[in-house]
Amino acid sequence: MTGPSERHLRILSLLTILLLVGSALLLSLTWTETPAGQPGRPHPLGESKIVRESPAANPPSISIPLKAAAASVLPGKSLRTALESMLAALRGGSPESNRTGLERLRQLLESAPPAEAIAAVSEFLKSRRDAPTGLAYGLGSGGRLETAPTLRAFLLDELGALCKRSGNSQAVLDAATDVLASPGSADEWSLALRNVAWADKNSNEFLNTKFREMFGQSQWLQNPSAGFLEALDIPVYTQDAGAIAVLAPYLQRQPEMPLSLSRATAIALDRLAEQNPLQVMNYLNSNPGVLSDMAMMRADYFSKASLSDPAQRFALETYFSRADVADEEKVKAVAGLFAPGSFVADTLLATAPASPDPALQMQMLNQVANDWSKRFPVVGWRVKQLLKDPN
Amino acid sequence: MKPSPVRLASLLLGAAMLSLFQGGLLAQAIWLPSPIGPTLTRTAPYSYVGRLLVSFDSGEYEGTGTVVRPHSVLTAAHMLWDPDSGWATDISFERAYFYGRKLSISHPNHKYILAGYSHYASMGADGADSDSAFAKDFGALTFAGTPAGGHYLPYSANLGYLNGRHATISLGYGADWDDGEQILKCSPPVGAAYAYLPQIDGTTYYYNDFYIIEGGMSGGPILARVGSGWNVIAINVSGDDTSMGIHALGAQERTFLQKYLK
Repeated sequence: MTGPSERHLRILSLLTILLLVGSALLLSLTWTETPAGQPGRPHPLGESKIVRESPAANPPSISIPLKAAAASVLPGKSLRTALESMLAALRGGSPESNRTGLERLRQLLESAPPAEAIAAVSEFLKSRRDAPTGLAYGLGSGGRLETAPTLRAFLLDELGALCKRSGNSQAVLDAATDVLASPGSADEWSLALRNVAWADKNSNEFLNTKFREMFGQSQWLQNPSAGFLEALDIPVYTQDAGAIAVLAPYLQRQPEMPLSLSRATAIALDRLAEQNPLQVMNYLNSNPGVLSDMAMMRADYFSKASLSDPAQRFALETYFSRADVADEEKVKAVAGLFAPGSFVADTLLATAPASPDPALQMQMLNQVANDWSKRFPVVGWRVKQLLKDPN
Repeated sequence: MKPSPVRLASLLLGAAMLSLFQGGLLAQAIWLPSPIGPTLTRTAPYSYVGRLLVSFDSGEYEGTGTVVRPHSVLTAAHMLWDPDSGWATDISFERAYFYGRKLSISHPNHKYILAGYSHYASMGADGADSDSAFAKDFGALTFAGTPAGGHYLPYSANLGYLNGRHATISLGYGADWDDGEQILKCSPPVGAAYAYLPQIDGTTYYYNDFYIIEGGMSGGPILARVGSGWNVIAINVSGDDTSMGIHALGAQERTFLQKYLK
């Protein structure tokens, strides 16, 4: 017969065993409920409906989410395997299946520990291996790519976002240095420059230098890719009025020049003037020959002036006083003061600036009308005319 | 009418007449726009549509716009910006205009074009009259006041309304073989055979080949019957001798409208 203390010990041992077994079962159950651990079901990245309805739309990379089951054991290895699988899948995939696969990869990378994802992506980028996706270079909100033309472009976009979120600037700067060392792909340059801007807030001078280097690449100018054109947002972001000299020759359409470059240049100059009206006006006043052959466009850039800012008003009045500027151009600038224009869209870096407050601008136009009538008769006449009847 | 970026040239008249008189050459009839008259012009939904007059360095042009927010009018980008002379000036929106009469006249305090660098640049890549150009053709005006007293036509960014099974009408101030003094209307039959079709995959540029529009109708609305009312679902942007193109409201356009139009 055992005594009470021995019985208690046995009961306690039994309870301990039961507890251990229960814990193990619970843990096991928890693991099996992890979506990535369920064979036959995709990671919550993609829609299972798509998988069922269109098997062809799922490249071999469909195995990527499944391999994430090992994420808690060998996360780095899993991500690297996923990248290898994606590379292989892209080589035989359709654009639509590539889009689905890349979206899964995006979610896998962004759900992994940032340091591991950054390491895996950085390592892959260093290998310089790549594959086209069949998709366009498509910008979405926040300067992120919605669709990437190549795997490397996709990964540069991801790397920038991962580093921005985790505050790891070194990895993104290392990758950018590698990309920007030679004129390989303009699409990659645009993303590398965006990443540098995100990682280093004091990088404007570097960005401006690299932007000018882009315009020194004749092969890029002759056949500008979407990424090259989107990189025209760099001087807008850095508010680099000096870039006008770089851009101005491309504003006027030339027979030998791609029209897309002319159009993107027009948008960049307009947005630059909107971002930094004072510096743009000062630059144009100091360089009267620049854009003199595109006078009506130049007028638009002066119409961004906020009259409530004394420095901007002075720059505008300097323009009105210029003898080399035709009255028609000045009159157009005046009209723009009453109703400026803005190109708006998702861009790599620059956000839309606040336009001058329309009510305050009208108040200021009322104030300056008489003064301008005396100093710049044609301008003053037009202001008074528009104040009386906007047309 | 703005002849340059718009392919709605006077050729349309000849082509349309050819279509009518040599109908046997065509698979189906092509509807032409017709005037709605003074009474309907002043009645909703038509009363939210107006004549848009703009100036560029090259001259004055006529188009169409629609009040879609209390302080905002939707129109085509090519009515607002020109690659040679920049932004349009001297803009007036004459709501429910009919031979000199109008319910209101308004002048904008801001012009907007939905255009990113590479997005809009393709307009230049293939030329101003290209499909890719019209795929990017979307703009708007904002006003200090309210062009329609604070009322407006609702919009719907739902491409499903283009499937032919919903009643649609296209409106605008036709100024090619009409005089641009009154609203013209096209109202194609309802049926799957009259669906608008994507002109360029992945964009919201659609077309149909059963009615045509005139220059001056650029920027005018395509309305779809939604419940008991009408919603703006697209704008007229292009046309040629057998078809017309529209820029429909998709997700990107909806974001633009929500973010910038008051």
